[in-house]
Amino acid sequence: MEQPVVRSVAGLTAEVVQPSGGIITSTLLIKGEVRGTEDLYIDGEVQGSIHLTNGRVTVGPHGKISADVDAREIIVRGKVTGALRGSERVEIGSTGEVRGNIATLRIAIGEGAQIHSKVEIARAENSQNNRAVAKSTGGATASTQAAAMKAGGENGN
Amino acid sequence: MASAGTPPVAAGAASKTGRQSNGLKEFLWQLEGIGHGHLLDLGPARQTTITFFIERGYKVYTEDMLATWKNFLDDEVERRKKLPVGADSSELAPEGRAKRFLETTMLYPDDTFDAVLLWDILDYLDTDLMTLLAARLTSLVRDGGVVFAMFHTRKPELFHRYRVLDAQNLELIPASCPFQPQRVFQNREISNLFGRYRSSKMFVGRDQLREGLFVK
Repeated sequence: MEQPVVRSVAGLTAEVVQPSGGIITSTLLIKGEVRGTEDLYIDGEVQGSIHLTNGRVTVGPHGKISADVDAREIIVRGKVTGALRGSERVEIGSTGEVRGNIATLRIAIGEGAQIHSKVEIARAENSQNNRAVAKSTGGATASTQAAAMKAGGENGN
Repeated sequence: MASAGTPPVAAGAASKTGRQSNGLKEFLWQLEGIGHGHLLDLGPARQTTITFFIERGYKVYTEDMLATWKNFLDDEVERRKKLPVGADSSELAPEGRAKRFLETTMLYPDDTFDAVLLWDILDYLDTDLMTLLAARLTSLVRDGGVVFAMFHTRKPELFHRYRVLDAQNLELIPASCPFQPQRVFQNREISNLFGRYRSSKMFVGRDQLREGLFVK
């Protein structure tokens, strides 16, 4: 699922949400375990745990997560307190704030992101499991990790 | 207390600058034998810095000390407002406040880190916190571990954040300053602060920055 984008028409703005995947909007609070296979966009509050092993979790700018998150790809633009395990990639946007350990293959950090955590990147020689996941999902392999991270670094951070 | 300052960076007046860093070069040289170590970065999370050390096999921990301290002080202001008249506010005094702050951050076991990027934050923290932080760092760094710090030789006109560009160069990024600079350290004061380290080395730059390397 693509994350919602903001479109502006005649001075009015609206969030346009792509049809696939799930959405937890800013008015919702979920306590407990969230599990699934689709992508998930969270702009509300989640307390508990999130497991989307082959999916992407996007925490929107209003999102507030107190949970460990386990997913293929994790994008944070809101606040997360908990461990992030992205089997393929973790991105902390410029408005993102993370308190908890981050473990992934590749990481991108935006200018202004607040990270209070241990960042651990699985390296090629000890990331067999992650590579398998990345390959099966058509994602980048560990061998592209360094290049991808360098590319991430070119965005000014 | 470190006073919240007017950001001493004029929009458009300052730009990022590179800086050749002998301190960084020496820091990396000291780390060469360590291999897969643990590095604590006390500045804001920067992609290039994190990537640089991760590619060298480090586990990187980030704690933006100045931002965290600023948030803590903001919360303290709110807390003080809610105190009933006549209530004991001794724990809100600078020393008690610094102690309480360190009870909420940098919560790692002793001897966790092989390397610490302290940058110039000691110049900006109030005396109570600065002293306690230096002591806490000393216990967090394992024997043989290295601390890389920077000290201004006079009160800086601009506040910068730093990031590692490559093995010899840093980039200075002008930023809004959460605090005014609190002091200009004398060399003797720095030596006292890192008195428990077995060696220290200072590199004096022409840009009014001293780089310090402390091996425990």
